[in-house]
Amino acid sequence: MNKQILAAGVLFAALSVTSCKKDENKPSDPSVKAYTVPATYNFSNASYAKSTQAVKMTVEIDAYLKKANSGSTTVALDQTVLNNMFTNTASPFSDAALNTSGFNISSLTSDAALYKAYADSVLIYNNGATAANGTGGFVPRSPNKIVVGPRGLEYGQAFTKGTMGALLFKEAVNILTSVKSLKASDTAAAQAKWDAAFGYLSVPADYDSSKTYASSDANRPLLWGGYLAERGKAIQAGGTIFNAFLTGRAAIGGYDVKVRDAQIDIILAKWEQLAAAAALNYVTSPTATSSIGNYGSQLHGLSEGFGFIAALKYRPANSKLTAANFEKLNTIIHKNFYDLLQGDFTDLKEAQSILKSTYGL
Amino acid sequence: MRKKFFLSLLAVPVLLFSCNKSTDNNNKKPGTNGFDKTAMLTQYADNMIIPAYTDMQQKLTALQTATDAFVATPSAGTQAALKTAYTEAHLQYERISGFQFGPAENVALDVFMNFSGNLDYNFNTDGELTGFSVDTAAISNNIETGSYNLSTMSRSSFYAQGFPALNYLLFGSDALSKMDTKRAKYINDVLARMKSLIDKVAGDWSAAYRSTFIGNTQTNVGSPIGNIVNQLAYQMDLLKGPRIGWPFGKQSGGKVFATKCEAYYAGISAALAVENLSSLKKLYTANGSGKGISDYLVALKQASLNTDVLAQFDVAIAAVQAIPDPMSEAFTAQASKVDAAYKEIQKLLTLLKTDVASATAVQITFMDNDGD
Repeated sequence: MNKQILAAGVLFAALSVTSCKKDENKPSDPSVKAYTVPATYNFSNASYAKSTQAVKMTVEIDAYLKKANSGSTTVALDQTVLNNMFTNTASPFSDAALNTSGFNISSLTSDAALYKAYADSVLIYNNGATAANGTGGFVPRSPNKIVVGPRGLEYGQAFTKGTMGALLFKEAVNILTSVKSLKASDTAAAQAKWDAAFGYLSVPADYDSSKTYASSDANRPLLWGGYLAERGKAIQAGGTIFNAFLTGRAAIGGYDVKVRDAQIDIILAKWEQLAAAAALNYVTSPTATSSIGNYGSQLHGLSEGFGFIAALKYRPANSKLTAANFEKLNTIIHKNFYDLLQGDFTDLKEAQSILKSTYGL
Repeated sequence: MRKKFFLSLLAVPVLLFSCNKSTDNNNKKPGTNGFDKTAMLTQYADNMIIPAYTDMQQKLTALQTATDAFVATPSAGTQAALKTAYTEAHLQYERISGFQFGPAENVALDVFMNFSGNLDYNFNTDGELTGFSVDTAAISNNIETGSYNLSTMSRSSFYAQGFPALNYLLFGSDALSKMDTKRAKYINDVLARMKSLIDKVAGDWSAAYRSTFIGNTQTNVGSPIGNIVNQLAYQMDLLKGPRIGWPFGKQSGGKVFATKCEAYYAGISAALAVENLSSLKKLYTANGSGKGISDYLVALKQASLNTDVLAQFDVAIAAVQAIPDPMSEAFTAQASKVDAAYKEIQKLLTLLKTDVASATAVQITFMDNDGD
């Protein structure tokens, strides 16, 4: 009997301490009001044009670089065209809205010079040579080909998957992290940031994680949005991240900072896990019997893995991946790919094991 | 009276609970109508996979004996005896080719035993090492220099060992005339490597992997059920591609690559294809034991799909059986029969890769089909 009273007393004390703290810390904050979480991202004041444009610019550069992959003979690319796409000069994009957007992706990309160099390297090795260990050039990949450097890296993938990390994911991490320091009353600022981060995910406002979007669908998810289904089905990435974006956006309107911040953690942890799941797939598939001996699929896979591991560099501060383990992954994926594909795949198996154990994959 | 009433009220939920519990204990999840997946996997491991590897070990030992006789006294007579032993061994390999997961995947067994060139590769140039090619230049070089590492991961290495190299070395046009000690040594080294790979896989199954396999009834990526369904689809893709379709010209606008069929020099490609496809049906039904993927489908209320798949297996097997050996000649002499078989294989492939995979909630993982 006595114990029960004591326990209840302690509980009560704890509760009152918590509520006191909250009042003290944010005396000017409005109290939480009722809000409903909608099924789509059609919030009346939602705006994320710039994020969407950054995604579309990346997609157009990716498409330009991939022209080199067509057929089995050389398809020449123009360095000036590529440069203009990176600086957004001389109306380089087919989507006119991108040309008048007033910004370029380099301004938003971390390690921008490196990612530009990856793109430039596609042109360097688009040379008609047959690639081999030590020689950059073409590798057949049914039904076309890929362009790789002397160490087997497909630079187009290093650019595109790398930019998904160094621009899109990194921006989302920084923006959402900064939302956490906003007061409940800063709804307009928080909503604008929230929308910008949502735009980098690049899914339609009425996204449906169970739907298969046709590649002809103008409203289809792009880049990360596409990977929600492509590599994120097993970890329910699409539903989890989209719902958290909806919930958090609604919570901001209801001054519900606690729920808002919880959604930030959910989004970033799942997004990072998605990058890790993609990386895991691409350091695993090249070791499968069904792809051994096909440098086209093996080098392409490792190059995608290269980009997704690079994305982990921009992971949030509370990431489960230690600096030491990131360094291991980074060292492995920077090795000569032809060497990684020899023997018992010791290095790739180590990378697999780090990704699996860290991210519960 | 009141107390009793209360007790009886209590008894109701308790009873319900115990019902639920017994269902859980038997691993009978809703939707599978009590289908026992553990029993299915046990059937696969104990009555199909492990015995098949044991048979493979025996067939390779017999092949070794016949090879020793041929190498010691190369003649048409010893070669004929050898052909029988070789055919037995290669047919047995078709019976295990669908078990390419777990221990087999760990040693990349199929790549070193019977490299098919895989699926994601251009198949339209004569000189290229694609499909069931043999790298005769690499083999000659290996024999001449006596220096080679058969674990090297390269196409040239894969095409210079396993059944591709053996069928060329034992039944190629100069198999008798070129026999010497260097060649004999290479043949023995190739055979020894095949045996050691099979021994390793058979050993791993009998040791730890059997319980790992039986103990995992999930259907996610890398699970035993996921692997079996993936293999059904993958082996069908190999039949449609390197085994029949590609050398027939399906990826080269009708241009036939007659020498790029399986075991070209032994001339048994059609027999191998029939055995491969028949073995896949056995894999699908767990050899008609009532404990196979096919029965699992029925439990998942997909009986009509299962009926379609079984019927299409029979149609496809009959169509492949209609192709005479050597298949390399049938590509041109019996083109309509090859084409008919190709079409039936394609139908079966769609059923397995799309419908069966979807009904069993298995993701097909062997192709990077993201298009980027």
